[in-house]
Amino acid sequence: MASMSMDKNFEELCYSCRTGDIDNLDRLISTGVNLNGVDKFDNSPLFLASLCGHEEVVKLLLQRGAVCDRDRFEGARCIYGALNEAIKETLLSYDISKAVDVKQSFATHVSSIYNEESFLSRDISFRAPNGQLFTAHRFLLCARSEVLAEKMTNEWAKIEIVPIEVHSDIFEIFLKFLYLIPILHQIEPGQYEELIKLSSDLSIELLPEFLDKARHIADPTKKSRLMSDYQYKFTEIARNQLLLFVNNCIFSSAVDVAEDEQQTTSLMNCPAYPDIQLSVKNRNGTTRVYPCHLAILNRAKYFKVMFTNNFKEKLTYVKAKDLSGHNNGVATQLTLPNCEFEVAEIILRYLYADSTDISWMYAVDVLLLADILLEDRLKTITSTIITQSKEFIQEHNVFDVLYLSWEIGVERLEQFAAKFIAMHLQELYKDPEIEKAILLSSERISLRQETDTIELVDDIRYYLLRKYSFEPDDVELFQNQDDLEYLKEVGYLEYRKDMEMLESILTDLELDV
Amino acid sequence: MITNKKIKIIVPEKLGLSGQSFEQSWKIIRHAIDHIYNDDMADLSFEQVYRTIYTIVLNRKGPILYNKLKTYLIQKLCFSRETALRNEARNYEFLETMAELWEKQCHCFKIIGDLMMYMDKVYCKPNRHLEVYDMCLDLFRIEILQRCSPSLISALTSDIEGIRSSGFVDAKHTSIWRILIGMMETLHDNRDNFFLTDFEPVLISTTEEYYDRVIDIKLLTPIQSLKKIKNLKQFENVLDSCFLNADSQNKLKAVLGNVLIWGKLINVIEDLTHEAMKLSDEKLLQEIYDLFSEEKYRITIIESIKSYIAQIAMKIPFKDGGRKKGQNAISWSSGVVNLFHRQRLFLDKIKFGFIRFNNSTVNKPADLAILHDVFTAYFSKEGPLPSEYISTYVDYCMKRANEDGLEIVEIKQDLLESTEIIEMLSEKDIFEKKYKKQLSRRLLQRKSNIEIERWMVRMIKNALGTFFTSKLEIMLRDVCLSFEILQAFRDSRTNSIEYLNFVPQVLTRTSWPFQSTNPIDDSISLPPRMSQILASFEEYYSSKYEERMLKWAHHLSVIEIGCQFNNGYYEISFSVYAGAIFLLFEDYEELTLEEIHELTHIPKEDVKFLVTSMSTMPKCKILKKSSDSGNIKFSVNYFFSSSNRKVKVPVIAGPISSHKSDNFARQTLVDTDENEKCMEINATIVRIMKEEGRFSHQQLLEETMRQTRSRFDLTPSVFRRSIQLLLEKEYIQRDADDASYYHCLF
Repeated sequence: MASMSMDKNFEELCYSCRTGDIDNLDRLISTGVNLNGVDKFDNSPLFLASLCGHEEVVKLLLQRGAVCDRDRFEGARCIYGALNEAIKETLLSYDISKAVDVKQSFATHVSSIYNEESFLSRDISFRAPNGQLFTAHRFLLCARSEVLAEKMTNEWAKIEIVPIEVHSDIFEIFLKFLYLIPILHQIEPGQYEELIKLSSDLSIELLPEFLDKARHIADPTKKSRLMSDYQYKFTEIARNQLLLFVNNCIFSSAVDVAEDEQQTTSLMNCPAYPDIQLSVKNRNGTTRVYPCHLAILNRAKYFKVMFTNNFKEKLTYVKAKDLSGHNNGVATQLTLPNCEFEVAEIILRYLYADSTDISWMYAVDVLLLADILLEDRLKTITSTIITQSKEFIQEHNVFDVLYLSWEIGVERLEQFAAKFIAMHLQELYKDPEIEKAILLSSERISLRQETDTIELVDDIRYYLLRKYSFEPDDVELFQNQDDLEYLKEVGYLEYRKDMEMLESILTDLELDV
Repeated sequence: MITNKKIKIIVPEKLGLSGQSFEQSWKIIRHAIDHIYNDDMADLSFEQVYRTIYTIVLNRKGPILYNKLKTYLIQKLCFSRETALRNEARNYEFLETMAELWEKQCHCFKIIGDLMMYMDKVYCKPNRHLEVYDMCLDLFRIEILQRCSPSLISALTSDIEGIRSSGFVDAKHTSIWRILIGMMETLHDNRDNFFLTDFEPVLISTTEEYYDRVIDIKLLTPIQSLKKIKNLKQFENVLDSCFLNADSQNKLKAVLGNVLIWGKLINVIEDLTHEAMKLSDEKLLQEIYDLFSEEKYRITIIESIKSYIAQIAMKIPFKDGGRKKGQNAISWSSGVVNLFHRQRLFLDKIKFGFIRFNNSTVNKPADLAILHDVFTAYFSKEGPLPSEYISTYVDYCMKRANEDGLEIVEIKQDLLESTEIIEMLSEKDIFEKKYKKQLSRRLLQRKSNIEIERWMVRMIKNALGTFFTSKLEIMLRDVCLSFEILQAFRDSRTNSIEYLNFVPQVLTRTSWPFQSTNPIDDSISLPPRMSQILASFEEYYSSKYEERMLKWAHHLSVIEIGCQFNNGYYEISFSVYAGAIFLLFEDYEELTLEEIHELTHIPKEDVKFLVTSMSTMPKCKILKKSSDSGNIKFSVNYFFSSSNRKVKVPVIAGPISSHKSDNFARQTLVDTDENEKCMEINATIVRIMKEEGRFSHQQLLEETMRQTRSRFDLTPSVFRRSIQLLLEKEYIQRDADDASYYHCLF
């Protein structure tokens, strides 16, 4: 029943989004409808409201937690489907502000560095025929276009200001495009020709194709659909490009320094065009130095804060930049906490290209490193990988996982451990570690204050019910049953056995729960 | 067993900086804090400090670090207090030092907070401690703000007062204030921020005192006070906007309002308003109005406007001893219309905004509502006279259409103003009566333009409702219809009598303000030519409308006779009776009164009056009297002469036209009005009682008043008369037990 009325509410919600009935919407939201669901045509409420042009509705949805994530297809669709510029602006502003808090999502971050006006270095400039100057990051251009990368190693290698022949408005659109700023809807009819030429010359994947299609479509709905399709593809392409860049330019330029050696070579002239050197020491005492970019590392709060205040790191960075331009002199050297190089590289791939291809073998290390770097999203993703990996739990002690989850505060992992313990209670029963874990959990009560129960025990009990697919009411029912055959068949006997084990552990511990 | 041969997860040792004791770590952190405070961070590595803190927290030494940090910061703050704030002076320098201290500390707090963010996340939040930055702020509040608060508050208020006295907004000062107030707003105990709890009340009271002190209204004229207060207010608003948040600005505005405007200016508000009205200075009036943003004060202003207009209205003279009543009416009415017109133009320029009036005129714009109130009150105070005067004024305007040959548009313009006045008359019934009477006269004597009359009735209908105009409309209809009937009548007659121009008016009896027909009309014998044509018209009319009865009202009719005298040809207009007498002299040379009576069947008394008026009045002395041995005879006075071609034999006071003199005429009007009112009240009471069955005297009075309000103001005396009448006729009965109750008996 509940779910049916929810469905009905959701339908009504979608209808209100179409009609712009903000009061009804407000009411429906308060019933707890999922704002990020989709109707049978795969339209989200946010998309409907944007398409129908109800700005207030869009704002309300966003305020109440509807997500407009540009890195996902649905979000991009909202932005390109928006009826007017005002709504587009609203969506974009929410995308960025929300993303900075919780997501640090990829496209948003890349876009944000285009406008970043702080001390961060941009190491190449372009002068348009009308004198307008554009500054950019070599590494990004290099990653985004092979042709540009080629030019930078050759004719542009020594020049800081590159004169260009393209009109400034065309170049601006193009540059913004490279930085993944959603500008497809801003292209004027007269600009297509020149843009197609520019993007073909620089062999930008898919852009000429899109432009050619878009300029022949008049129907705004079709056009916005086309744009959202392509913007999504463009983002995917950019991720792949940056991933390639990380693998080919950063990792392959990294140098190893043995424990007692001094680093001799500067990485500043390597094909990655770095402004930061990031060094990591592994278990064997070898140090590896990666050429990196502060613009990207900034995605992690740790680095962001490091460079907010005038600590040594920032002063060195600014000094190096002022002294030497882009390609000589000493670079700022940052260190990651000691870890295997693979772990450091996972972090870098994540920061540069949003890659979450994390092997379970390194998952724990990644978690710990993400914890230091205050990268919560990476922590969540990694925990998910742990909980979904079959090998991980076979190779790790479940109690270690539990302690780790407490240490770094990932609830998902805590639940995972509790569930595992419940599922394997009969094997773990004899393990003295389980008593220790319960004791530790009971000591954590003081931290939580709200309840005086032991969270781990509660969780195990909960998962024991789930293990046998029981509802709490069922158990009451079974207690009064004496048909043993039946009870065995439904699994109650097994359940009771598990529960008795748990109780006996608690009795041993003299804990009264 | 699955617990075997597993990879061990070892947390702290791996990533933290192992091998440091807490003391060593704390040393690093303390060193960092010192450098932050000295603004010397060039050698401070974020990485190192951050990771030191990380290791401490990971080793569960968070609580120790937190407390150590707290103690150390208290030391720092105490030191700052001792050194920087030792100077106890309560002046601007003190404020400057304070602001500087606050900004510096905030800067340090922020950096320390950033360094400690791992502890915030892992230790403070889950354990519900203040995050490091907030903890620092709280320490600042306790160690600095609370200890200095009396000095700070008095220094700040006295500095603000100094700037106020100087009359010049000094950006240097206000920016310091802004910083300090920002500080007070940031720092809060568990309830509210310091600004709200400690400073704002003081600021408000000192502001109040200051402005109460600074201006003495008794020494200034109202206009000067206004100007001065306006300047003070403006200055304070500008000043406030430099350092206060919008909320507090509004609070201070309210204070200023209290002190300056309703504290001081309110005493002269009426004078001010009158002054502005007198000068017809709409800007000034608007300014005064805008200054008083609260509704109750605005109502005071509006009341002052009203009283001013009322004063002027009172000055318009009702009676000017030397002049006739009609002239009084016209000069008074045009004075009122003029005043209304002028004030409306003036008030129209004032933006009153939304204001609630306490009576029924809600739907009107404020300017009209004001005028409406003023004039309604004025008229109702003056009783029935304004109603009659206005009607007379309309009558005057109407007649000008024919007399002065004015353009219709101009007359309409004049009348338009008066229609708005009509709406505000208190005795609308009187107006209706009077208007009906005057309209009938105008229509019958064709003194006005029928088109304007129609338009005017429409306007009255808009102002008063159909109820008042239904009869007027019928009157207009009768007149038009009569014209058509006449046309048809003429067409139906083959042998028309060319030299008689007969214009009959068929009037609906109930709609015209005439009592009844004159009894003489049945017996009078008219000259044969006249009676002939009347007879044929009667015949024609009854053939057309069989069921209608036609009755001649000669006393309303006019005869015009062209007559050749020795000195020229004159057109003389008579009442029908006088005309009939005059026509007798076509056949007779001389006639005595007795003979005239016999020939015309007009009563002797009346004959005497009529003949006297024709033979004695100098303007129309067309008969001459000759006395022959006591036998008085009359004959045509062929030596009659006049400067005008048209001569009117006035229907002077005589028994036929009216048995009462002019002085009593108004009395009659009021009398009949009273009677009709009484009937109306009877009907209302009966309606109410039929519905209620049993009702108390007071209830009944109120309900009747309510129902009749749109027509007239019910006075208890009339009401009592009505009740008496109904009791007599046994429509209602007093309650046997409680005499104040009535029962319905039908």
